[in-house]
Amino acid sequence: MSREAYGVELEPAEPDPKEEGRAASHDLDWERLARAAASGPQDREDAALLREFLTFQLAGDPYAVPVERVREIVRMRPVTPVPRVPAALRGVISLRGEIVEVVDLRLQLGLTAAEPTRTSRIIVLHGDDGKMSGLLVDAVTDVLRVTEEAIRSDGQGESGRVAALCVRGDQFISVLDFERVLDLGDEL
Amino acid sequence: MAARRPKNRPRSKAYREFVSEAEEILERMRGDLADLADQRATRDEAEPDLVNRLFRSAHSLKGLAGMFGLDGMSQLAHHLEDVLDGLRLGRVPLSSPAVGLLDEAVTVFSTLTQEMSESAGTAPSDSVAAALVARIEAAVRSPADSPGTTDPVARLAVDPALLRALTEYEEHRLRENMRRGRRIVLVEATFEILSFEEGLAELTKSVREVGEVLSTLPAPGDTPESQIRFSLLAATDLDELALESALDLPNARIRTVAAPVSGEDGRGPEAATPASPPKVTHAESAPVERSGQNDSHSGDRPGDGESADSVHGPGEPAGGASELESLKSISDTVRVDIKKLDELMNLVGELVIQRSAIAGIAARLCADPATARVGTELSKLHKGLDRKLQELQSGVLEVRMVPLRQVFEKLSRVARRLRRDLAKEVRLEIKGADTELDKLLVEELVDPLVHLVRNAFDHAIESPAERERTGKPPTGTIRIEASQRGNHVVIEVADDGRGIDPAVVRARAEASGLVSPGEVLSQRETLELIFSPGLSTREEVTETSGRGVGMDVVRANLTALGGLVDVDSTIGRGTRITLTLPITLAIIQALIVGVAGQRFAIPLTSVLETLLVEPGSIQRSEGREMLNLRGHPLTLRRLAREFGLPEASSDAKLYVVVLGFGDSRLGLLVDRLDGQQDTVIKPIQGPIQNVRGVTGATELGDQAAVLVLDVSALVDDAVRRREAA
Repeated sequence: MSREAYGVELEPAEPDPKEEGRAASHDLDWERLARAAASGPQDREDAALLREFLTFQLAGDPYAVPVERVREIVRMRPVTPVPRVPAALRGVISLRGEIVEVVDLRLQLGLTAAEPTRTSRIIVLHGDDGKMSGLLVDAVTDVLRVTEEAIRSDGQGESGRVAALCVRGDQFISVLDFERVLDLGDEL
Repeated sequence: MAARRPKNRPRSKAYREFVSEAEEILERMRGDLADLADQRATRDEAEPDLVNRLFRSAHSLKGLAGMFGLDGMSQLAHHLEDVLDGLRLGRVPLSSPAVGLLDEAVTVFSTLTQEMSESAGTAPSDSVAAALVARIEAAVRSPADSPGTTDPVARLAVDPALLRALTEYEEHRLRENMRRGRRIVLVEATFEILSFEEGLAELTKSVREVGEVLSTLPAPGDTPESQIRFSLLAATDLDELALESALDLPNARIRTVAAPVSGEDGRGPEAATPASPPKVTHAESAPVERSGQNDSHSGDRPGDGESADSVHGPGEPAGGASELESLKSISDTVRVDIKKLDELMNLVGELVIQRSAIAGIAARLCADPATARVGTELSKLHKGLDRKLQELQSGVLEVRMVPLRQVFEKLSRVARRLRRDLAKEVRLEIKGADTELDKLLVEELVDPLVHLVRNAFDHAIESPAERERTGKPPTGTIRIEASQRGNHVVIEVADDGRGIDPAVVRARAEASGLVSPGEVLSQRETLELIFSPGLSTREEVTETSGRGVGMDVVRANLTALGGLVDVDSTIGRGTRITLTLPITLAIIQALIVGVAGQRFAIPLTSVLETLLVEPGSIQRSEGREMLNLRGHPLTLRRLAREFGLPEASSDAKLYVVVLGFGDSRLGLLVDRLDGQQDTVIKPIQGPIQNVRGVTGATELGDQAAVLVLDVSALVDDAVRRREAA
């Protein structure tokens, strides 16, 4: 997609996760993405009309969340399962001592389940109340700048978890509804 | 600085400081005055410590008002101080009307402070304070009885120089103790000059355990230069032999200077060996030089103005001068926002986690022969870090600790109000007010405790007439006792009222559907029902069962603090509610257990014991697994099954973690025990947050989150399932 246009050099997907100091690397990805976002094209449209999304892959398709919700992106790390919760809640991770729940976005969107791979990342979002949540995705791809008119609020699915579709050339990117995507129901 | 500030307008920002500090002092005084009023009603002499405390409060108040240029308040405080000083020196009798005005003075102070706070710092008018000052002056002028004709102090078998060195207060205490017929002794001890402070402190402490230290004075005598001698003038009820064995100090010599008289009170004791009677002027003892010493002794009343420190020489930890030390300590105190302490605590918590991470790395390095040497060095380093970190941790924890006294003083006030409102005769007995607890916990304890006291007043204690009918003393008693047991603090609230009738509780519980009619409950289980929300929120229960609304709230509060509530009651005899809670919430010790490859943390406070059992020793009843624990059936739950994890093979040995929550017990079956660890429990952030059976999570140093079990929920569930079966 827009990778060439912005000259974004995404983090190569090969680093060996087994030893590398995890604590040190957790915001590496995000830093790179943020830098990429900052060095956008010179001839960008009116800033007021721009919106920014973090895009990622799920089962081969592109999805996006608003950049302002993203707190950091962390590599896959051991997730501690939590009993008595819906399967889509994969478990909890410790983020420098803070305990954050991780939602398996594949399961949450009703896609086929898959075990995390080396490219898998946890996108840590922050809510209005300052509380954090994590989304497990297949791979983080890009920071996307689009104008408001590229966002179509028609054509979203029935679950309500996709708030809009963003049109990039001939490709649709599903923009997630932040609130609903974290709604695991009251199955407790 | 005070003089330069314009009158009637303290600096606008500073007035808040004044208000908050004054309120704190007044709060303390109100509590103490209430105690004083109690003593006034029952005895003719006030407890010296209490009067001293009040005196110090009045003194601080005076200083505070003076500093802010509030003349009216300062004047009033000055007169308060005078009355109290007279009281502690025995010049003003406890029965004097002036003492009765103290309450009023504190109320006036509160009102004035309140006005100031509302008017954002405008100094209130002085007229109210001035009017009260006039009344106090008039009341003080009423003559006090002069003491007996012959001065018993003059007949003491001690060096007259020593007697002259006594301050007026010390002399008053001496007289008082002689009047009560206690033995007066002189304890002389020699210390190495290098370490005399510790030695003297120790001696003073042990004397205090068996009596009262009246005065500590350096003793003259031909001691080597490297040594120093002290005399402690003390009063005790023990005889010389018993005292000697109680003190058990090889370097101390005990001499009785006035033996106690047996028999009636009021007569002076006989002097052991009458020495030449020194002339001790009573009223205003003049300044005297301490014989053989070059530190001068001023005759000022201790605590009068700023001269307090001059009574004892520098570096002399005088036993009889505790009031002076405390005066000083007021200015040595720093107020810290509890949030700042929380931040510190969090930092320490993170350090603890990182320390564990270092331990892990060290262990890995040690395991590999190629890096074993570095590993050993690292683990040595880790041990040092560990020690220091533990000191830091306990240091920060200690700073957070406050005595329960604050809460208990509030309870006394509540009790006083209730006594008035309900016209019931109730005595509130408080013990263990010095027990310390995390500040945060103390705050959270106020509501539950007030609730319990109010309940006892309202419903448990009968009217005086009813009490007499049942052969009880007309005055009811509510006893509040706090004590520390290991890492826990136990607070008991006991009354001698009518008790809880299990039959009534049962009937109510059945009526509200909490219990089915046929269900068999032990008496304890029935009593426990008063904590159920469905039962106690009903008004009728209050009248019939003698227990009030909101016991469920009390339990909820305590549970939220990681504590327990227990109830024990006998009809006609009374009720005892026991609160047990951890000393601090900040860092808890946890037992780490393993099930199916996953680790869980269990707060050690809920763990009674752990056992290793053969699968064959597990018995079943109606499908429920049980263990014979020293003759008692212990219900078992498999953590794996509870949490839907794969279970261990059926012939593997299992560990049983015996959990206690209140009186309920539960054996939790786990695959492994992974030892104990200090943990900082963090809430879980995210969409779910509340999982039954999980209270939070923690990190143990390897960056993996470990869930912390909610013992109360697990035990509750097990009990409920048993009842449902």
